[in-house]
Amino acid sequence: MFGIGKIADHTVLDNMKQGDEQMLVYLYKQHYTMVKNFVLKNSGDENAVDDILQDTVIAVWKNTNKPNFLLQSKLSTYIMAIAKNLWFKELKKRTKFKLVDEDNHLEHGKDEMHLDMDQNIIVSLVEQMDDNCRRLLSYFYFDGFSTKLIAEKLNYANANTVKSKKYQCFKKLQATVISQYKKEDLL
Amino acid sequence: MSVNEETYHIINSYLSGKLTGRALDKFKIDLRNDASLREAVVTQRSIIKAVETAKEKELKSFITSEVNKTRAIPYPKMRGALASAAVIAILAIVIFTLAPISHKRNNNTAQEEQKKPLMVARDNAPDTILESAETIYRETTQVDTQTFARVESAPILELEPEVESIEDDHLDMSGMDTIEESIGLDFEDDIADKADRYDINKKPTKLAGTSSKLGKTTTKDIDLIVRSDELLGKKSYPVYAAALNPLDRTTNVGEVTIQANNKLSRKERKAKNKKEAEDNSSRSRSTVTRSIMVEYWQSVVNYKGYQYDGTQVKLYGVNQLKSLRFVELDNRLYLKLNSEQYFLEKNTKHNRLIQVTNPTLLKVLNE
Repeated sequence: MFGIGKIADHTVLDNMKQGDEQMLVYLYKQHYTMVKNFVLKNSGDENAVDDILQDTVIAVWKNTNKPNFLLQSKLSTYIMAIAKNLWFKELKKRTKFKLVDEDNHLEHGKDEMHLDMDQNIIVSLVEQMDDNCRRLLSYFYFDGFSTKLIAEKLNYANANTVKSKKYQCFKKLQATVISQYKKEDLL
Repeated sequence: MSVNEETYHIINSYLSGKLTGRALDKFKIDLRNDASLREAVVTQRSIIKAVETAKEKELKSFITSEVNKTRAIPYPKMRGALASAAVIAILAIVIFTLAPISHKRNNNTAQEEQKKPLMVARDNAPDTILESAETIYRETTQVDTQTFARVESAPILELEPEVESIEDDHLDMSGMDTIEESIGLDFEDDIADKADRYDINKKPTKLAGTSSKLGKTTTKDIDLIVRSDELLGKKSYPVYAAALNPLDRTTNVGEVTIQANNKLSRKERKAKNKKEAEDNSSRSRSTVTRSIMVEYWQSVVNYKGYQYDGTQVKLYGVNQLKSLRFVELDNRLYLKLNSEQYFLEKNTKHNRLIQVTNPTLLKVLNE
């Protein structure tokens, strides 16, 4: 779809605001070489390039839908800035990880693993939800779409319907999560 | 713990940072005092985080799948394929564009080959009227002005009358003694009146006439006629000598005279010297060093210029009726034509007439 040619920055942003997920693929492809060169030059490898670039375009996606988002540079510059920050953060994490005492690390690792497991279980519960509820919650919490846009996308009557529907979906998910786990597990 | 819709929305606002002012303060106090509210906030935060993570996961898998789709045809390879396709397309266009041109050129070459006369009329050899086309073609390319000679296809004429006309013309020409008889030039009488030493070289003029006649003749084998330069006439001109400073020369002569006649009185000497100087000056201006033969040629391509080999001048595109004056200065020959002075360079090439613009030189030449 985006093999040849370049889409204007404002068009990309407008499409992203409307929830066009193809724009993520477009941005990924457009900036792959640039990010790859940067990561490889800064002690990275091919796998890291994929992760960083995916995180970058998703960050752009999330930021774009924030109400006070204003692009003050070229989109490619903005994306490279995010990619650089993410990569430096990752490098810092890796360095820290090496410096940690092995015993402490193991204990800490156990806790982290436990929490991750719990989070992963909730994630799997989210994934098991019915499609409409899952989409509604992700539109609201992840994409940051307005209730009006969500109503349009999911064919609801109005914003109030979206609000009440969202509450119902959340209550349903919360009930599922609480039924499976003790309160302490979430704390 | 189950929360009502209002609390759910307040927690949402608190977690997204949209809760501000008194509402935020009140919520913080409630959060501090109400353990069930704290549990509700923690649960809601975990669920929101899980929703975000799920969506992120979904998007990442979407990106990966979409990118892998295109990676099935690797991007650089696709570029290479596109570049190859473009090169092939360009080559195809070039080939199809040039093919008709080369074909046309081949046709033209073939036509030129066909046009090249097998037997052509030659102007300067009436005895051997017909020569091989190859010889003529080679010779015409060797002469500068004839390089541009046009090759025209001869009109298709009946065989018998043509042969007769050649024979008639040849007979007529053999009976003619002078150029007046052969071509009957009208200007010659006028030239004879104007110039004393007007001379016409019979042979080349006759040949020119022959050529003009032969130019119209065709035989069974003649397909083409090669037109060549035509000699219109010949004339001999005196070459006058010129000195850069004639007065110097007269002064020198005067000095010699003074030495010879030192016995004369001062006034007599002065008058005599002045007279001699004037005589010498006029003599130097009118001194004829040699004569030069001038040939008037008509080029087939209307070439205008000259050829000067040191002994004779060939003028191309110059009217014979125009009066010429040749002056030699420092072994350089100058031609005065239409009140303009031209320098004639001595070489074997065909040259263009170059006008003299140096005012000092012009003054000397025009004296």
